[in-house]
Amino acid sequence: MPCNAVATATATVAQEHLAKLLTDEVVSQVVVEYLQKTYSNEAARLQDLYASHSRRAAQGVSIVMKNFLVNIRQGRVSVTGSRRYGTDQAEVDALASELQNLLMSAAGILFQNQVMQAVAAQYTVTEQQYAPNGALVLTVNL
Amino acid sequence: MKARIVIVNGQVSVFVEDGTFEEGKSAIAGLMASLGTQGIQFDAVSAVERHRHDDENKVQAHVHAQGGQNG
Repeated sequence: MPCNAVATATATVAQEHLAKLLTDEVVSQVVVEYLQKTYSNEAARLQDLYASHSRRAAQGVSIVMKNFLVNIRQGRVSVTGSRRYGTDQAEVDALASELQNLLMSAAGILFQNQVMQAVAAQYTVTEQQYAPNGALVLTVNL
Repeated sequence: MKARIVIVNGQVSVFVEDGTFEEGKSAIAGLMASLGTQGIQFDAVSAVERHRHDDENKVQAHVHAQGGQNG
C-alpha cells in the first residue's frame, strides 16, 4: 500500500483497559465456542464461580473441560489441572496462554468495532478493509 | 481531507493523506477529540508528526507490508 501521509499520530489503549471490554457474557461465548471447536471430543461446561473465601457467587466465568478448570476474571485467565488425571503443568500453562491470547484478540476486535462505530458516527467512511495482520483499515474523509 | 485509520491491538494510527501538515494536525486533533467524546479513552497519544521517509532521495518504492500501520 503506497504511503502518502502528510501528518500522522498514534493513540494507544493499555491492555488492561482493553480487557474491560470483555464482559462475562462475551468471555463465556468466545471461550466455550473456542474450546468446543478446538477440543471437539471434550465437552466444555460453564459453571457458577464462587469467591474462594466467602463462597459467595463471584463475577467472572468458570468452565470445566476434561481435566481442566478454567476461571476468567476481568480478562485474566487461570487454569488448574486435575492431579487425579495426571495433568502436567506444561499442558496447563499452554491452555492458559492459548486462552489469554484468544481473549486479547477478542478484546482487540471489540475495540476495532467500537472505534469504527465512533468514526462512522462523525465522518464519512469510504472504504473498510482488513490487513493480513488483522488490522482494520478505514479510509475516511476527516 | 482523506485519511486512513489503522486499528489493531488497541492502537489507532491515523495517516492524513492530503492537505498541509497543519491541516492534517488539526484534523487528527478533531478526530481524537471526537473519539474521546464518544467514550474512547486512550492511555497514550503521540504527537502529530510529519511523515518522513528515511531515504526519500532514492528511487525506490515505499510499500507497507501490513495495511500501512507502520507509516
